[in-house]
Amino acid sequence: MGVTASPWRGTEGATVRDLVLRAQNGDRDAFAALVGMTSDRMYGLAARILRDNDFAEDALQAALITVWRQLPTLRDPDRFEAWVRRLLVHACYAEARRRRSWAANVRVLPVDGPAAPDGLVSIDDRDALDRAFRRLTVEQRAVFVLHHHVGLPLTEIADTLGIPAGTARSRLHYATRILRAAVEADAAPVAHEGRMA
Amino acid sequence: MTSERDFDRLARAWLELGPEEAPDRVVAAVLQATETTPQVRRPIRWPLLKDFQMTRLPVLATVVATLVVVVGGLLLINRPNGGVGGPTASPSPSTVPSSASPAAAPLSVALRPSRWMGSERPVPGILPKAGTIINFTVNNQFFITQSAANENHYLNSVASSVGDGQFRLETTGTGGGPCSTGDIGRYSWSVAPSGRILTIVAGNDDCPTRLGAVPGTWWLEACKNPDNYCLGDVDAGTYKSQFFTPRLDAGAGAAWVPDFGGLTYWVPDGWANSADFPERFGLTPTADYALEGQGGPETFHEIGLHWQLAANAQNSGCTSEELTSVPRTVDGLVDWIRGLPSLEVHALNEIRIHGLYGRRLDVSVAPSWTTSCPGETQPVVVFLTEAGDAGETFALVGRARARLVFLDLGGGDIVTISVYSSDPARFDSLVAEAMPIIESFQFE
Repeated sequence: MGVTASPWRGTEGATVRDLVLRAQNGDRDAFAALVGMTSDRMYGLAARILRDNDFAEDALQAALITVWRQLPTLRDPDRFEAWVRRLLVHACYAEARRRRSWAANVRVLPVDGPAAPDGLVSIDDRDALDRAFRRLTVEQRAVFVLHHHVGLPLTEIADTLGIPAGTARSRLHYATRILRAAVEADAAPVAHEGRMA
Repeated sequence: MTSERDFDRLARAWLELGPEEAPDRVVAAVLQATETTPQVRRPIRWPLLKDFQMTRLPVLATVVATLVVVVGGLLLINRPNGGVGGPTASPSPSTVPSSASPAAAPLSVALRPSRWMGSERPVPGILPKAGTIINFTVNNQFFITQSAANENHYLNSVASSVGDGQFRLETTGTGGGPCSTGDIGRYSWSVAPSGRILTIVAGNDDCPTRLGAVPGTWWLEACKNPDNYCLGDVDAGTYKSQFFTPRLDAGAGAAWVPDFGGLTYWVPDGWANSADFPERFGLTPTADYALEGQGGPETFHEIGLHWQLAANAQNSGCTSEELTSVPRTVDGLVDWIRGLPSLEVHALNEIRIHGLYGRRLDVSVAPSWTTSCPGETQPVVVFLTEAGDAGETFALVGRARARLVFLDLGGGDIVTISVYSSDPARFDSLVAEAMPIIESFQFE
């Protein structure tokens, strides 16, 4: 799984809950600790949804500033990470909308992370998935990434995104169908034009 | 052909490719921005869910998984074509919808989440004073739950449509409670034009418990806050709270138990029930409620009810610290507020609501007051807090004004009602709209 569960204890033994409560009262050191504990995961999530590191940086920055501003409104500190994830996905939506031409101009995500664990992804597969992924809406991408990368079940995805479970399911179904078809088409033998003599 | 399992592995491996560390410059920019970015403040800090016997949060996933959607079209309501139904405080089986009635909502195959709140129902396993929820799922399942214990399903049945305006429930093999497998019941139903009020009328049922539990009036639960089961937008009418328990003094160590109807209230058109927690209840104009996002609104307009507030120490540095020397009585709290140099008090008057003694006053930050709180750029006065160590505080920020009503429920219990608008220009009109609602409040 690409993303592990969040550590429940933060720096110097403070619990996430403690840090959230302090940050809700304006404690910037506590907020910095929370950012340190979550920013890598959130950046990875944004980069995978947007498939562009620059866009992901902007989305992460916007989301974390929103987190700071809205933190006093978080009613249950135990839901901090899920709440941040929700704000981040919405920031990704906004980033995608802001860059109206992003679908046309999107660049392939640079492979500066670790290699696939077992060499499972061939270059052809990767290219096929990259191309097909660009055809998905940002909403479909978000569901696909939350399911396959973060490992969330559909019910939790629905909760995170504030959508009905059926909508999450249909988005995942559509995304999977498109991506799977792309991989299979790429693997199929090339058809020869013309007739056999 | 790629198998499903192979594709899932491939997708996961492909998604592994990518950055895993946030650039330091982004983190630095965020932390720098916090130096100049104030945090949103509410007049009442959102309450933390306490360690009551409620199970709202743990069961959220279950609820999301199971709620959802209506019976083969059954409650599936094309909203413009409603049936009957004005809201009432108790089940109202008097109106029997006719299957031929043009007013009845047509059956539809469309799906939508469907949870409906109702009053106490005599179902074994559900506590006597607890509210109830009936649920229709996408898979045509029906069950009833206690509103604070949604993981326990009762009267599990398969639901199906039986002609216009009627549905059929058949007890399934497990979870049918006192009903026997194969028991069948038929009910008539109709929905108000808004789609928010469901009226179910008894037909016949092999299972007497189900027959006693299902008929009546049910209100659509459409709370925007996933941590709460408030109603959301409501039609004009009279309603009851599910969770709010104004007499409970958690500061004295009291434990919460379900208490449907702790508050009965009336609203005209254009209001939403925006919060229903044991310690806090909220009503918000519909237009403002529509603007609330998942992260909370940046503006705030609400009638709020709060249990057992106490004076907050003025040297606490904006944190919660009960000032126990101030009596938790109507007069004790009002007189203490009047004496604060940080606040201006206007429109102080006695008030009676259904015979209960109270006092109301309008408060604002004194023009001479400059003290603020961390993360704020405007003057702030934190002056009320929940009794005990709950840590929720009531503050006024900047030019905001609030109307407060302290009401004596008897037995030493004080409920605080607030009317607050983050837009000072709207305060007077909001108060004018709010007072008839407040005067409708009845407390059990």
